Amino acid sequence: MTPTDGLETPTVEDTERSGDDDRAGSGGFLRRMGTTSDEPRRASVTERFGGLVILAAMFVLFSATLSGKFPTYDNLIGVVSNQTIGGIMALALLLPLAAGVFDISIGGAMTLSIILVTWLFQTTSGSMPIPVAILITLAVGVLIGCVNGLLVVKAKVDPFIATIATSSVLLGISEAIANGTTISMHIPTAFTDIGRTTVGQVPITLAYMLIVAAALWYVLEYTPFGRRVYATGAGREGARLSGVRTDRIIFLSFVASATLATLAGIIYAARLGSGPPNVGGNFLLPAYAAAFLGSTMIRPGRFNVIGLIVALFVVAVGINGLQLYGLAFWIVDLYQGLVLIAAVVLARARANRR
Amino acid sequence: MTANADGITPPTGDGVRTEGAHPTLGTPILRAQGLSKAFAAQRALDDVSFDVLPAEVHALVGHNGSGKSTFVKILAGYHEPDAGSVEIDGVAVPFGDPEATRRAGLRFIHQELGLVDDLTVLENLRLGTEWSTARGARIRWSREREAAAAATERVGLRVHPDVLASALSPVQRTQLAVARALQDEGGARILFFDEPTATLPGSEVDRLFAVIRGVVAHGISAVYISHRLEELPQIADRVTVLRDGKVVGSGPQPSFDRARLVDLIVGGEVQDRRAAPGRAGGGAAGSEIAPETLRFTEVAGGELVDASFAIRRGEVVGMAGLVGSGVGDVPALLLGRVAKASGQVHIEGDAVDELGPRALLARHAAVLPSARALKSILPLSVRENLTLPDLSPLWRGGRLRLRGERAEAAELMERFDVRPRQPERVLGELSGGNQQKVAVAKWLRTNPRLLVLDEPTQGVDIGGKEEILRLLRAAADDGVAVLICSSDVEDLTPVCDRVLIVRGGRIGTELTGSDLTTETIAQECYAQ
Repeated sequence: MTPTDGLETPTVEDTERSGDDDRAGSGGFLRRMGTTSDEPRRASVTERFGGLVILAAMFVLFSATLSGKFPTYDNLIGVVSNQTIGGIMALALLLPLAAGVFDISIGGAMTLSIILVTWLFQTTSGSMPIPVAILITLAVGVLIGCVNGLLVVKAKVDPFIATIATSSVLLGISEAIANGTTISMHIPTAFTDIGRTTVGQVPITLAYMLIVAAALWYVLEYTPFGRRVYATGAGREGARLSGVRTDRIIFLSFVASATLATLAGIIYAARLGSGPPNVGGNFLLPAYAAAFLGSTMIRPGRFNVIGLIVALFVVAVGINGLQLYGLAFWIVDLYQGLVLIAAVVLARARANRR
Repeated sequence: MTANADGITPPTGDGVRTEGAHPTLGTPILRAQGLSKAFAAQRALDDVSFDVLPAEVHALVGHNGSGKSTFVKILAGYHEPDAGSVEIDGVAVPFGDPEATRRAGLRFIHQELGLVDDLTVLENLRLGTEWSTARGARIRWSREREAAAAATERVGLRVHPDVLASALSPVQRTQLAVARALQDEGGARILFFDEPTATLPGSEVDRLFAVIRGVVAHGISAVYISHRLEELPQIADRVTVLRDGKVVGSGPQPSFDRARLVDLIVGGEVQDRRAAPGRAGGGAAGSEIAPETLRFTEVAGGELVDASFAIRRGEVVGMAGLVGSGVGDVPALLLGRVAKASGQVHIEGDAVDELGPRALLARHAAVLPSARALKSILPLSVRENLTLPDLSPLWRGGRLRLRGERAEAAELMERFDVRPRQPERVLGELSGGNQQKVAVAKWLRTNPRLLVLDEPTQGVDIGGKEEILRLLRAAADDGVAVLICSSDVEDLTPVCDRVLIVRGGRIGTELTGSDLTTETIAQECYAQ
């Protein structure tokens, strides 16, 4: 199973040489006949910018019905700040999903990162230089990505299964390090500043997310690597036969996702100033919801950065509004689950219309 | 059937036959009359009549594109004909309804058999049918096993029902497919075999024939579709030949000797008119001195056993062969999709041991696979497909120059006449011919010195076909060595300087000059 299953299905029905398939009689010919109209069938404007319209509509609705609560500076800044780390987690998924593979282990990588970076300070009584601690943690992130990549590319394990397994391994390692406690001793303030600095009321973490988003946007849209990632996700064997080293692409995608998840963990730890156990898992589903919903907009049918950011805030503003209406904590999980379902159904419907 | 002097009814044989019982062989079970079917402007079937008598094996032969598949697909309920009727036991069968044809007793055994390797014999038998269950939907396994054993034994297959399908030999797999088709007792009247021997080792063919004979002995008829003419005397009672969507011969098997069959299949008249135009006269003369671009020396791998040939700069070489001859393994081997067992491959004089897309790209060689989904990436835009093999010219100053890419894509689409001229259009939405042109354009953009194409005109309409062949000729005139592997001989005659015939994994014959006609290519393909 690949994440593009529901989006675009390059059926490899005719990989085998069909020696005696009467040319005119094949079903493929009929299908093609149906799609050779001269009208361009690009994604419609509603399809591309539907997410922004929904976002605007929620804004208007919540502002009208929750005036005094929703459209306040504090509330809106709160919504944005709450999404920055989750946003980096969702962005982490972008490369593997665009390359056609799932990475379930980003939650585990984030958890280990939070525990590891705080433990490095605690165990050295705060004497470890901050850049060293961060670099060690990021290096572990790269290592996690390498393990995932090797499992999928070399050992040919299904990405879904491989990363579920590594996810559990990472969680186990984190638990061993933390030993059931929240690590909170000797965390330097210079470290927590990394997560807590604000400009006006705008948290610095927003800048981190935007930098990661800009970098990924550049990579996916403006580099040969990004083009090859999309080609790999859209048709792995076709891409390989076009000279793309698809194994390398997938391997590097896993390295990127694990490293970004580790970065999200470092920022989370800095913001919180401590290392609680098993936090990362909570970020997994919202990340998938944003990535999949994002793939239905801006550049429909393709996992894309701007669509993902819009989707992130569609989810966040929706939850915020519902909570302000007085719905309890459970609305978060419920809403995120429904969004993921809706996103996948939308994508599937689009693929079927083709 | 009123036969003429040599025992062959004329093409419109049904017209002269009176209704009712056959004088010697009984009433036909199946009678198809006047079936016609066109796809867009292309006529796939033209007034085809065909019948099947009780307990006979009726062979249906014809070249690629003769209409066999369309005919079978109409009977199977996949296509609705534009005209004509099909009766079984005198009762009209509705079209476009696979369930109705099944109820009427038609069973189809496709070349791929449709078995699931990871399921057991019993589970394969029960695919899509009801299980025998006790209360609470509990499957009665012991009863199922007995029924399965009985069903397989009826076709001579003696294996335990719990054996995995993947563990069966090729013939046993065919037996299992037959057993599955026949398992609802009394229901099956006619079994259609589509190229059942194409993937079977020679030694197993006789065993398969025994299976078919056994089925016929139970009073069930068989329609046998095959390319292998030498098999017909062993298995067929009657033969019907299709060409260009028409029945060109039909009658008892002994009245068709091999030469006559080949004549009927490829068309009696010599089609020299196809040979001359478009071919560069200088190609053959120039090839005497032109350097070798690709050489195979005693290569084995896939179906190839001992293939040796060379392609030179500036020539277009065709490679023809029947399914299973190994013709498709030449491109597959170059792409690394089939492993080379022995022999040497040289590209521009260098021995290349590790074959594959990257190795080819590095040596300025391009290979287009046959399958649509492999030669390009359907969900990407035309622009992205065109530039994928080589993005380096567009990568300047740290970013892909998208404007330059769009301009280049538009220019390529203009030059190769890809329609519609929309570089941002998703490739999968283009017609087959235009997709193929994109594939050719994308590889010619990399300035290859060798271009190998597998079935370049498969699924391409007539107009698109001619254009693609024209593009290939033009590429060769620019110095590219072009090799076209095709089972469609009509591809090869207009553009090729020479055509190599692949038979039994070897290069059998080389045709050049006036020998290079559609007819001679087909004859050589069928030669033994």
